[in-house]
Amino acid sequence: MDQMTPRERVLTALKLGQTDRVPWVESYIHPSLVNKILGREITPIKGARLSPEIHEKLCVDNITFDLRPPIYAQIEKHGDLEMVREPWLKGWEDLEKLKKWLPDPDDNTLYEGAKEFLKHKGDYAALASIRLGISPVYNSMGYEDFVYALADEPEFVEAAINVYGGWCSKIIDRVNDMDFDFVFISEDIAFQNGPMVTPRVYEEYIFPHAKKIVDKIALPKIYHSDGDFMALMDYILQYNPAGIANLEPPVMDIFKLKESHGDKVCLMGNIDLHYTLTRGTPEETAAEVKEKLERVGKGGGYIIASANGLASYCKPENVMAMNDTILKYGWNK
Amino acid sequence: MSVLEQIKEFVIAGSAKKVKEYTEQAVAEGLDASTILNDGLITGMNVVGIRFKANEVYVPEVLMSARAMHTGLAVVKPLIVNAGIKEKGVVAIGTVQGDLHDIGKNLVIMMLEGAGYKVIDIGVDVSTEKFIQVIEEQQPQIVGVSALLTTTMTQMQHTVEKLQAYRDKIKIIIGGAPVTQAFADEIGADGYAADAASTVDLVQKLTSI
Repeated sequence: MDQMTPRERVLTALKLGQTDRVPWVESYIHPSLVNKILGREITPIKGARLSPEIHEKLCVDNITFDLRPPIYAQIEKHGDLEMVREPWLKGWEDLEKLKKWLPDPDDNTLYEGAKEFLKHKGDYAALASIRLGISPVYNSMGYEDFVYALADEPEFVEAAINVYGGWCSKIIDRVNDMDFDFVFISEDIAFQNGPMVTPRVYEEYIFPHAKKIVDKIALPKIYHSDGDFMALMDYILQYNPAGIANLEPPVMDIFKLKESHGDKVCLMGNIDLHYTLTRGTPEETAAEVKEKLERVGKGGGYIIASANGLASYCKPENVMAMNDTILKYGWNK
Repeated sequence: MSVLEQIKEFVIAGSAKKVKEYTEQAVAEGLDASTILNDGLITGMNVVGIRFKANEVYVPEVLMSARAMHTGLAVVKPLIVNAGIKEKGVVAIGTVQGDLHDIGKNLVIMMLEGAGYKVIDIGVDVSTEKFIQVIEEQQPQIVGVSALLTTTMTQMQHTVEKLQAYRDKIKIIIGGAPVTQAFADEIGADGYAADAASTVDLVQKLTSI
């Protein structure tokens, strides 16, 4: 088989075609980790989640730009990580404030960074990281209040989803017309022990809104959630994703998924972040990557990736071991 | 169906309004506080805990049931205090410094309170010094340390190591998405629980020793 470009590799995998090598896609590589791997500091374009400089060292096949909405909350930075300290979306009056607070998605300057970033994509697959409006709502409300509101005042939750969803929808319109190759729908909807909303509630209050927005996406789409989202899989598959990610181990069994869903959707992810890439050894990393390449990559339909993204606390030597193992064992003979 | 069974069933169903209504009815009928608590509210939460461990219900349902149970608890609490009914034990729980995640911690708190324990919620981003202050001032039997991020497990290790000085007074348990039994053993914790329902079992086991 002739060697494919990274873009061809990714798009072929998303169509469940046979690729020359199992592609490697990450939704993000933290800048501090990039600097450690490159041995120098880079200055990424604002909004870049995976900058092209990393290709000097890693065989990752994509670049990523962030077009997700901001969370309406007090955000705190702890080291390299940003977390919600205090949600702001408490009631109807806050919803009115949110509408004015969100950046204007019709403002062309919002997309200048993405346009500049895309000039550097070369042969790599350009990924737009987007949302549908669900996770911004529960992050802006606080998850517990979100759950109670779905029971006590679901119309508020639906109204909030419509505000964020409307914003995301306009972003999607722009993304469709830009030089992106695929999109990453970053909408966490599960914990390790199951979905964040029950299937019945998801069907009634979440799915109809999400479906309207996701149907506007013209590019191949990957749906991402952390945790065990098997209880919601039927709904997620109705979004017609080309791929599902990041299949967090151990709660998402990628081998079983390959058997049950491997003919319907590309599987992406499943290289462990709780231990392997962050606290394990290069040898352990190589062993896990090799196994996934051989058992899940066989026959196509797999994009190898970490179980979320390459966070700042991944060990650089383990990321290099992942890289080297992909280059040694990832080729389809 | 008796009023206690109604309380139990509506805790399971997650109806705070109905739990309040039937708890008030139980009080009006003269049932003693301990019976309402144990045979109505706690029994209901126990069923939810079992179903949660069996993956028959999920986090949202547990939250709704816990809220319902707390609504009933608010009705019966003054009677419990007046009757001098003691909690089963005292547990202090916090998320380690550098970590703001609290849903797992909050779920554990709700289920432990649902099981009859007094819980001190130390909060999130809790320094080791703050854990120690709570131990010295409020004397819990169990201290729970939570971390959701792999990066804050190092802080968890540091905290647990410092708390070893209080081992004659407390048991230390840990939990959180990246945490494992192996890690608990490595850092010298007394126990590890994979989820909120298992934490109740662990605390019951440790407080009966």
